[in-house]
Amino acid sequence: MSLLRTVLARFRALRRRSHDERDLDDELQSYVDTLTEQHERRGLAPSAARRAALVEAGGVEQVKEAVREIRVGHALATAVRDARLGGRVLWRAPGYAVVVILTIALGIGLNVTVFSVIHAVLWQSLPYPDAGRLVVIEAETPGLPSASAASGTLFDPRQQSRLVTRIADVEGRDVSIAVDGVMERVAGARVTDDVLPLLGSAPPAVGRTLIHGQDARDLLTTGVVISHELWQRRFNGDAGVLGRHFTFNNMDVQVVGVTRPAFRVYLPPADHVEERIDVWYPMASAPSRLYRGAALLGQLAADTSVTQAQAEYDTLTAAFVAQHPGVYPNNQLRLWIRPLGDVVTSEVKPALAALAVAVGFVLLIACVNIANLLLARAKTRERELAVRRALGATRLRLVRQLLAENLVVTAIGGACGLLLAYGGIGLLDWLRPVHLPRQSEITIDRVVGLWTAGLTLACSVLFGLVPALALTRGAPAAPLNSGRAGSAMMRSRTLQRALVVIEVALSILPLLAAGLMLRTFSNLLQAPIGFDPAHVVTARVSLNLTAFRELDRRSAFFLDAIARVRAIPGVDAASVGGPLPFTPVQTTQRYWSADDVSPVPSIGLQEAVMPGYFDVMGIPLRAGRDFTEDEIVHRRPVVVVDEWLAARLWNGQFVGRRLGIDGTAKPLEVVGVTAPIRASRVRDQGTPAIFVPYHVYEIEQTLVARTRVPLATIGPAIKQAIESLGPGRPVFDIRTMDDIVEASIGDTRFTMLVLSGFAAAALLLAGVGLYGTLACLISQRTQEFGVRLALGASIGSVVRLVAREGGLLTGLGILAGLAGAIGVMRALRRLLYGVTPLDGVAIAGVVVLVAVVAIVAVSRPAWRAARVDPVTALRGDY
Amino acid sequence: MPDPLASLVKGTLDLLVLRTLELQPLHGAAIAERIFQTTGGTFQIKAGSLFPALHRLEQDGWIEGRWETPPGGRRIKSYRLTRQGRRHLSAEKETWRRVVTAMSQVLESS
Repeated sequence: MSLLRTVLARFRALRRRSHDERDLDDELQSYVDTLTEQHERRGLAPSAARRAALVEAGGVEQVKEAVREIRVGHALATAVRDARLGGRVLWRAPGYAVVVILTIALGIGLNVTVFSVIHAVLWQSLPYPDAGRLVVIEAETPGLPSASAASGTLFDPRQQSRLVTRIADVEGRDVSIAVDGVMERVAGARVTDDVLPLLGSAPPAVGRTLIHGQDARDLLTTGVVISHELWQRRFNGDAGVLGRHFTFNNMDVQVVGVTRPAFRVYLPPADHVEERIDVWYPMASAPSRLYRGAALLGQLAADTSVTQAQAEYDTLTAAFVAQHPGVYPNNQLRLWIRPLGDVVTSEVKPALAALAVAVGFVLLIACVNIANLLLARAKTRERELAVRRALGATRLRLVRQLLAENLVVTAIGGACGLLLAYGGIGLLDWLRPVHLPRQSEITIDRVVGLWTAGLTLACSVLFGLVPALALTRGAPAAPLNSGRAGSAMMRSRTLQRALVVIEVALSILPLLAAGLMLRTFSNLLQAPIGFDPAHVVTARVSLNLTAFRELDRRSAFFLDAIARVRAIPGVDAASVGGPLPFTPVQTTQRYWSADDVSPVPSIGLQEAVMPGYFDVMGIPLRAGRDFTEDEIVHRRPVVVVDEWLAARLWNGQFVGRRLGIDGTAKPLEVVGVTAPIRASRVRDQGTPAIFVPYHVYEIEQTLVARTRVPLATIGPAIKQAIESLGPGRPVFDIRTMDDIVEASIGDTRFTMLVLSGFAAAALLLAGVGLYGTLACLISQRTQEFGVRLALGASIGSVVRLVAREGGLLTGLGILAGLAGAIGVMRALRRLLYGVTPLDGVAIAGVVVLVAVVAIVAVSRPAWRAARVDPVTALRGDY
Repeated sequence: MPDPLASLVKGTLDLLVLRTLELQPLHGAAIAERIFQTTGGTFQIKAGSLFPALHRLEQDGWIEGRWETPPGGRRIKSYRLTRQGRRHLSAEKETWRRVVTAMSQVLESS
């Protein structure tokens, strides 16, 4: 009831300012005046007469209030009556109602799904304290954009900056833990001490956050913070969990803190930090963080803008580079400061924008479709409406009634759409876009609900108003005079044709966008990545460093493991290497030509490999040879580089040159050159590749095997072959190389799939619209066709007539759509790969697809027109 | 004197107003005056009942208000019966007659 009262109060507030209110004032004033005059005539003095009149009127304000309530109550009652009438009308035409409801549900459902994603991912600020002050610091230096801001011999802003008060470093890793002897892999994050406080987990639910001096000794971790979930799951929520020991990455650690429940982090994609981290462990703010492409987190000083901080950093970096020439390639370094929220979502923003536009078009098509359906129903409704007008209903009343009718269906459709959106969000989980941040926060909340209601209302007006106005236009009696199509019908036919053209035109944009994404995806699958992922199975091997203390023992283990895997039936070749191309964490390495007198360093991606790796991965050697077992065993300083790197450093002869890299005392001799490799992004060349033998740079290795045996069979066989050698060498994460490559383009696949879905919906709606309209137009012209046939027209000519109409409408629609879409497609450029926004194949494909749908849509009405029986048509009152 | 209308059915006032307007268009005060006169002073209609009734009847479409400005005077809203109102009135009159007959039979039966 209080809601009703609020609504009434609103109504009143509206009315108070309105025209009506002035009228009411005047009316009552004249009433009081008249009474006063009467009293005066009866002999009262003017003031007494006026008092008497006011008493008689019984309080002008009360009277006004009573009148206002009558008006508002009346408006509500009319609305209810309209809705009920609308419901009855629909009940009598269930087929129509179902089509409209489904169309609306589809349009609203898709839109609400996309809206709820954008709402959660882009619009809500990150759930950190002072989220607005969190920034990301990225270094841009030739050859490596968006790399880390590093310290040590490199520029370290930590010391000098006054505007960025805290700088923290975080890096996601999957880690192994063993509690009470049960082992598992969980998501972990290596963090500097500042990270947890910056992200709002200080103090944690239990214990304290990490302190590097206490929780790490040399490279060994001694204390970790665990998630609330892990505490519940593996420690049974034990209240005395602080100080409990467990095994973490083969090290003995103790729990120093537990984060609050449901603590989630959203960080730049480059940091590879999962949203839910189970183990937080300390990272030293060690010098030279150059080996990663990660971004640093920073907190701006209070009341500092990003622009101010950027200006300060520019000055500081310029001073550093001037003092230390030669540290950065070509002495170029720019540190970019960007708001954290922007960086977290920057990779998905263009795709989400494209989806939002496409889905908006689907809704527009749905609206046009329904407007068209409403017009088609004019045949039955026109006379009913004319009768009601003749009986005295005003045009406003009828328009309102028609709108109310629409509102009833739209409301039902909107509700169905909301249900569909629940399903849509579930589907999103299933499609599993790889880098959609904050996906767990996507829900249908109040804002989304309100938006749905608003959208539904807007739609109902959008598709309802035009037909309602068109239907109630003109002299009320006109349709009654004619047994056939009246003048309003003629006008509505033109309108119907126009709407079909619009509909077809609107469907072109989502179709073209989907076509371009499809081409992009297929181009990505065929991109020259420099290796052949087909038939390669990968399995990660984590060596227990305490059990395999010496490098020689580790090398020997891997050589042995390779031999054992190679012996498995069905395995053609096997080797180890790491990190594999397209796995999330890559190693970046500074390199230079050791042959040069004053070398200029650049940055490449480095992989540590064993002999046979190039063979397994299908990496062609353009010159020289592979590593040999002998070189591993004797730790020879050798290296293999890709052609791209070699061509950057040297002319002509590559084999035998000497390459300098960070972390090795002696330069490495180039023994082989491979084809150019893409290891971080399928899309672009990115960074040149350096392959060092395992002994030069030890890093967790992945076993790779070339085999045609299915993963389900070969996986366990590989695991068994290696783990049976003894404890401390777990094999996990067994997947195909194809899978890894595809996961890296998962975002494109996601965008492509969703856009294709939207395009299919658009095409379906446009097709239905085309069919419905033609069918309706033809049934209106049945008599005309009857006359034509009776006068000797051939069936063929009638079919041609219908086909020409359908063809013309479709053709106009396609042309208009292409003209509009081509202007917009430019915005897609960031998402595309290997195609221009005006790709001929995509455009041709769209035109053919729409044409085929048009032919299907036209064929049935044309067939019906051809089967018109002249006698029936002339006699019947169609 | 208690307002006799208060104890009567709601439709009575509407009927009185419609009947009064059947003869000629009138403004609010004149309607009350005319009813007062024709009923010999039995029904003295207060503004608090009259104006809500007028606006309700207007919204139902039975009567329609029109603003008139007599020369030299302030504007006045006078009401007249619509076609629909006329039809409605004749139907209501019929109902009323039946009610009155029935009521009289009950009240005057011995």
